[in-house]
Amino acid sequence: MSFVSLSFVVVQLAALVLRAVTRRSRVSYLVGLLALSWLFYAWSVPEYLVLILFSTTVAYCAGRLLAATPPSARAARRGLMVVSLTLNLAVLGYFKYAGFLSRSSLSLASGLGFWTPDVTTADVVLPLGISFFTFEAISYTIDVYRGQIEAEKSFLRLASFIAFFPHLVSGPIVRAGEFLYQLERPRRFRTSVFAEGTYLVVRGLFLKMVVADNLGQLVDQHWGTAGADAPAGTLATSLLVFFACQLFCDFAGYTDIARGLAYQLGFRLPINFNAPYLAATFTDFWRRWNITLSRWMRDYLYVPLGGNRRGPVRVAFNLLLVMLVAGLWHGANWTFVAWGAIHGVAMVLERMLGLARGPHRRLTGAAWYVVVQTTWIVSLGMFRAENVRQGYQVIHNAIAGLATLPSATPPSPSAITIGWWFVLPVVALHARSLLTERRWLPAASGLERAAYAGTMLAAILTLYTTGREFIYFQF
Amino acid sequence: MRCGPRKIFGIVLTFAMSFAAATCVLPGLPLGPKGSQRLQTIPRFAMPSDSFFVETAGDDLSQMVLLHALGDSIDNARRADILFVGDSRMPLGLREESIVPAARALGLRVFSLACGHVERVRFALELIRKHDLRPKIVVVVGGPHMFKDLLSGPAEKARRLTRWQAWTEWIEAEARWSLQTRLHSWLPKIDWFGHDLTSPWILYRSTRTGWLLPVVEPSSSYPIGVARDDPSYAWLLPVARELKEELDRRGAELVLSVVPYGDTRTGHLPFLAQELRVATVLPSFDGMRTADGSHLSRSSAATYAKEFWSEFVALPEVRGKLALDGPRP
Repeated sequence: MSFVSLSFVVVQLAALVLRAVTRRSRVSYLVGLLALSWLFYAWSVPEYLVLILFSTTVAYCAGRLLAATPPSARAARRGLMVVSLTLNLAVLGYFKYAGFLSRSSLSLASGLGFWTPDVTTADVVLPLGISFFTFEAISYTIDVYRGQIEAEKSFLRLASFIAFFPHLVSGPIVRAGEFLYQLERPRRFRTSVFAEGTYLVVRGLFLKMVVADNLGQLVDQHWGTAGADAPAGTLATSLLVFFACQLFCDFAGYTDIARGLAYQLGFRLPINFNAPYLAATFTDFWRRWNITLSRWMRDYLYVPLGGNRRGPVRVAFNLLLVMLVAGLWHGANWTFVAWGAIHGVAMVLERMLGLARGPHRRLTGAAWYVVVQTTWIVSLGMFRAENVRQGYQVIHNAIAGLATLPSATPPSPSAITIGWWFVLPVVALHARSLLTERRWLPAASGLERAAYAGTMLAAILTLYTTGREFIYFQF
Repeated sequence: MRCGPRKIFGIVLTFAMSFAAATCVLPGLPLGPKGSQRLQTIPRFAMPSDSFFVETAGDDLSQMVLLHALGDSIDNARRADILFVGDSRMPLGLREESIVPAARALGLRVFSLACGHVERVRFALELIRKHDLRPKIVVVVGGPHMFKDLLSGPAEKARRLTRWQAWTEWIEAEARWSLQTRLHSWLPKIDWFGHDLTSPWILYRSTRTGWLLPVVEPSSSYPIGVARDDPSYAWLLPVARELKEELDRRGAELVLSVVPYGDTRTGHLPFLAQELRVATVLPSFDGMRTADGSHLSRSSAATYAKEFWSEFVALPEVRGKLALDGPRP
């Protein structure tokens, strides 16, 4: 079920009614929320409910067994954690990577001249949100193993955490420690929190239905031309900028909606985007873009690999590996591997140049900002492409288009001109964040937000497009 | 932070004022090059009873509803004496208001399996088999393209969905359309990319008779045209024979006809009549006009349907199968 559907409106209304009628009973509220969350997940393919139940059960059993095993029995505890991780990763691996691995193996074997059987490769449909809830289940188990949180005694509470519908299918990736305690909190209704939630929902819908979906139409329509062998003027450059804005608005919009809905239901979810197009370094970029995934990668992969502690070569290796895994997490395709590699190399270079903590001089800082943002935008050519060749061609055309600026014109000037209007909200959003970050303006007041919300709602009702899923649903 | 009543009032007022201002200003902003911006509204119309929204501007729900037997449609199709098969030209040429009362006057029940997006006989055959439909007569109305062994895009999509998925998609589409008709009757939708909110047609579909019911239709007038026939129609035979054999097994008669349009072909009728030994109905096209180059205008449809029905019920095969000459209950 998508947030941008009328069926979902019914689910959220039911959850709000539930909140109102179960004010004195936390258990009833949780049972109701869990039922609604499972309904939300099972809406399209009911059979996939088994997966989330499996993942939750594995995490719950691992947690209980870890709690029952004394810290001195380190081998047993480690074994339990490994079994739990293996089971969760096996499910994720099968559904997400089986087709990719079989296709890649066959193509490699064929490329090396080996005999390859005439078989069709596994074509497994990716269950919604599997990358997100699997990572949450894994993080819970590791946190219990490390003793950072206590094992959850109640299956209901753990299931409510993993399946909580606002973050279930596209994040943010919530850690058990920042959510489970909220289930016990007294949940009084506060108008300001509810209003904040509603504002976030409206902003998320605006970013998704108005900005991302309109830009998405343009990108889809012209992507083939942008990736053609003959460069089409500045078309590829414009489309990459449009796609950068589409991707941001699609994902940040989803996160805003998720956080807003959670607020309305009395829960707080972590922030996932913090004006990423203000980032002046690659390191800063990943602290602002998909923050919860970056945090997950840092805490459960980068740090255990040794982090920054084992010399420059090992740090470079760790960075590259983490970014490759982050790329693969996005999708089982070589384009994502290439995309991850571009960012891995960029981060290694940044460290080697000593720019990771921000350049000292203003001019260098401005120049490095341009490098960071240009690299991000260009790398999205790979992220959006159907194959590496197309990705390379789009990037090549985009750079060639920039070189011929301003004489070259895109083939469809009217559509491209309109597209730039939809980039404006992204610029405005980042400009407002910059003013707040630099303390030149205070955070938006209630009245300012009300004015934005009214304008955005009018835009949603007049400028929306329909029928486009969230991009991160496919991950 | 506490929210007192005055603060809440201020916030609500600001929200309402900015919303009102934006709804006034946004449609007037010339964002695109001249002529590229369109303001689309949905005209007010009376929704027909016992029907569901089928299609405007791209989405077609008929195939999904019929294939997965959503709602009452297929139950009514099971009770029909005569099934009509065709694409959208059939129900908009032989309209419900002409055919259904005429059939009812003879004590007959009719149902249309015709679907838009150039749906063909293959889909009707699938419906007949899947839902075990047992009519007395099946009338296939359309040009030679009807017998291409293909399914339309909406039919292919309907096949991919489970019944549950089809049902949720149907409910969602109906609710969305209901909301859009209310919203865009007063607030225009702004479009630059050529995505029509409404095509010239707004169509509903009767669950009782299966007929497409246009609640909004174009008022243009185009002449009909007759195109040159293919040198041979042998390529129609595989699907046509498959349909005939299936109907023979079910004890149903097959009758063929066409509804004229801008590019009408009729040569396949005598060919198939001879090959399959079936009856055909071909009323005169004189004076017929289409509303959009493809579908008969309302007045032409009324004339054409009247002629069709009188020729149809005069066929000996039809009279015999429906026992129109004998004592009737």
